[in-house]
Amino acid sequence: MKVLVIDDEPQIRRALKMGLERNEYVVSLAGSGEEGLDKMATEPFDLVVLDLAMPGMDGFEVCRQIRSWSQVPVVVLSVRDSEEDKIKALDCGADDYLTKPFGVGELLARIRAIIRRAKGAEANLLTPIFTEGKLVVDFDKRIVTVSGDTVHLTPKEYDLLHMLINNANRVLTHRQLLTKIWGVEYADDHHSLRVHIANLRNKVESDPTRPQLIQTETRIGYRFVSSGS
Amino acid sequence: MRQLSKHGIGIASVILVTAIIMVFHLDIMLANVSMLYLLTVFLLGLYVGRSAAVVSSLLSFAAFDWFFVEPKHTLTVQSASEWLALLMFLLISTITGQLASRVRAAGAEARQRQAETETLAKASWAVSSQLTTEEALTEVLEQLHHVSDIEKAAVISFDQDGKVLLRASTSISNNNTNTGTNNKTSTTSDGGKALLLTEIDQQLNSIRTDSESLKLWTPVAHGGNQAGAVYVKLKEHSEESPEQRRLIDALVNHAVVILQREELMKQQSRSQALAEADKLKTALLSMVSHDFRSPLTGIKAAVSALLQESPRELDSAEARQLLQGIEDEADRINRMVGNILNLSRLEADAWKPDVESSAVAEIIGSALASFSVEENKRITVRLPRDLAEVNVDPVQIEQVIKNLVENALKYSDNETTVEILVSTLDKQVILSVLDRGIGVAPEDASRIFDRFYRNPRLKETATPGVGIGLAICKALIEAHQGSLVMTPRSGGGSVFEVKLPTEKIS
Repeated sequence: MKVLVIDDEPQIRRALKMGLERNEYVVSLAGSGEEGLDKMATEPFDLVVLDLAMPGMDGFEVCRQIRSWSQVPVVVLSVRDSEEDKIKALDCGADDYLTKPFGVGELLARIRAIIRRAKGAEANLLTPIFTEGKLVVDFDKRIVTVSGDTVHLTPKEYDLLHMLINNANRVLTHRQLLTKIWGVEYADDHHSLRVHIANLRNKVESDPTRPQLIQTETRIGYRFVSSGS
Repeated sequence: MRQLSKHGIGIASVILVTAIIMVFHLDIMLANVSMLYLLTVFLLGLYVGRSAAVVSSLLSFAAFDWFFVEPKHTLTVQSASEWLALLMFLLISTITGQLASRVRAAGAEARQRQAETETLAKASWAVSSQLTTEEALTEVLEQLHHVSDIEKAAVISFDQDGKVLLRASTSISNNNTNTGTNNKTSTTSDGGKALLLTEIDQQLNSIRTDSESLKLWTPVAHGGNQAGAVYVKLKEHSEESPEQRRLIDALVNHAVVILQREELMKQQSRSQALAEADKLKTALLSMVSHDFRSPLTGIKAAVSALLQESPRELDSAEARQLLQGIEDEADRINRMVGNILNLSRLEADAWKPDVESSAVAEIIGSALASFSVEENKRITVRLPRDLAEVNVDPVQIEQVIKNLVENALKYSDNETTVEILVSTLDKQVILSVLDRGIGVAPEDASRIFDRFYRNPRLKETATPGVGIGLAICKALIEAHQGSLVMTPRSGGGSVFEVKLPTEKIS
C-alpha cells in the first residue's frame, strides 16, 4: 500500500512517514503541491495525504488537479475552525479531512476507512452482517437489531444507515447523503435529513442525546464511527 | 449712492408734506404747519437716518418761510417775532432729527449685538454639542457666512501621515460669477475626505492669488504639532468694521476649538485602546508564561528522559507512560491556542453568526462529544421531544454550551451532576446549564461576564482560567440577539440561562 504525503512542514512529513511505515505503508514525501503532482505523474499511489495550507500551489488546487485524472483517495489536513475549508476540500473531491493537530492513530483510522470503502466498492466485498457494539445490521435480510431486539426502520432510515455504515469513519456531507438517498432535487433539504437522522439515532443509539455511532460534523455532515474498521 | 437716496427721501418727504398742507389748507393755523414739518423730520430721523433728517429740517425751514410766512413767496420776514419763530423751528427740527437718528442708531446697534450674540451662541452650541466635527465646523462656517461678507472659508486638518483633509468649506465653485447678493453660498463638509495637497491648492488657489483680500489663515496647533488651519476670505471691497472683524475672529476661534476638541478625543480613545490592549497583553503574557510553560515543561522533561542515555534502559511501560504524558500536554497546549484565538476574536468583535436552521439536540450532542466518558457521566440532558429548529450559528452555540458545561464541571465537585435543560417559551428557546458548584459570590454576579474578570479567590487556586470563557459566551449569544444570565441556584450552585429567539434573526 503506497501513500504519498504532501506537506510543506518537514517535521510533519517525518512524523507521518515514521507513523505510517510502522503500520506497513510505503511512504513517499513531497514538500510542495508541485512536487506532489510530479511524483503522482511518475508512480501510482493508493492514497494521498494532502495539507491544505501550503505556500505556492495550495491543497485545494492540488486536489482539483489530482481529481482531473485520478480517483485515488485523498485525505486533507486542515487547521481548526474552518468548516468552509473542509467543505470546499470535500467539494474539490477529497475523501475525508483531519483537523490539525491530530494523532497518527486518527489518521490511520481514516486511511483504513477510506481504503476499506474503496476496496468494498470495487469488489462489493462488504460483509453481509455488520456489527458495532450492540448494533447488528444484516444487509442481506435488511434486519437491524439493537441488543438482540429488532428495530423497525423506515426505508429512508435504513438507506441512511446503510450508506453511513458503508462509509464508516468517513464524513459524508449533507449534500452527499441527500443527493444519494433523496435525489439531486433534494440536495439542500437539510431539515429532512436532520429529522431522519434524529429518528435513526432514537432507534439505534443507546443515548440519543450523546450519539456514539452517528456523529455530527457541525455544518459539514455526519460520520458513522466504527471501531471495527 | 445710498447717501444721495437718503437726501432724496428727505426732499421728497418735505415736498409731500408741503403739498398736503396746501391741498387741505392746514395753514390756517401756523402752529399746525410747524408741527407737521417737525413730525416729518422726526420720522425721517427715526426711520431713514441722520442725513435725511438734516436735509429735511433745512428744506422745511425754507418751505415754511417761502409758503406760509408772510409775506408769502419770499424768503424775507416781516417781524422780529416771526424771525424768532422760524429760528426756533430750525433749532427744534434739527434737535428732533438728531435725537431721532440717535435712537435709530442705538436700535440698529442693539440688533447687531443681538445678531452677534445669537451667532456666537450657535457657534458655541456647535462646539459643545454632540455633532460630529464636520457638522460642527459646517455650522460655524454657516454662522460666519451669516454675519459677514465672506467669499470663501475652509477648514483643513492634517491626519497622522501629514495628509491634508478638507474638513468643511463654503462652496468654492459658485463664486465670482454671480457677484452681489450671493447669500445662498452653501457650506459643505466632505467628511474628512483625504485630498492631496495639490487638490487643496487648486481649490484654494483663487483665494491665495489675490492676497490683497486674504484675511485670515489661522493655524490650529495642538501639542506642538499643527493640527489644522482655518481659512477665511472676505469679498472684495466689502466694508469691514472692527465689530465684524471681532466676530469673525471669535468664530474662527470656535472652529479652532472644534478641531482641538477632536484632537483631544482622538487622544482619549487612543489611550483607552492602549489600556485595553494592555489588559490583553497581560492576559496573553500570563497565558504564555504560566499556562504554556507548564505543559511545555512536562513535554521537555518526558522527551529528555526518553533521549537520555543511562545505565538502565527505560522499560516499554515507562516509555509509554512518558509518551502518553507528552500527548496529553500537547492537547493542553492545543486547547490554549484555541483560547487565544477566541480571545483575539473577542477583542476584534469579530463574532458574526453564520446562521442556519439547526437542531438544538444535535448541537448539544456535538458539544458533549468533546467531553470525556467520565465527564459525560456527570452530565444529564433533558430535552423536549418535539423541539423546533432554531436559526443560529451551530458552531458558535456549540462553543457556548461547551464553555458553560466546562465551567460547571470545573467549579463543582466530581460527585455532583451538571444538568442541561432545554425548553421553549414565547418564541424563545431557553437552554439552562445547572450545577451544584461553588456558586458565584454576590459581589461578582455583575462582573463574571466581563472579559479578564476572575474572582481573586480563584486566581490563587489551581483551577486554570483567564476569565474569557463567559465573556465569549455573552458576546456570542448577544450576536444572536439572545441573552445570557446567571442566577444562583436554590440549594447551592448556579444556573446559566441562554435565551435564543426562534425567529430568524437579522
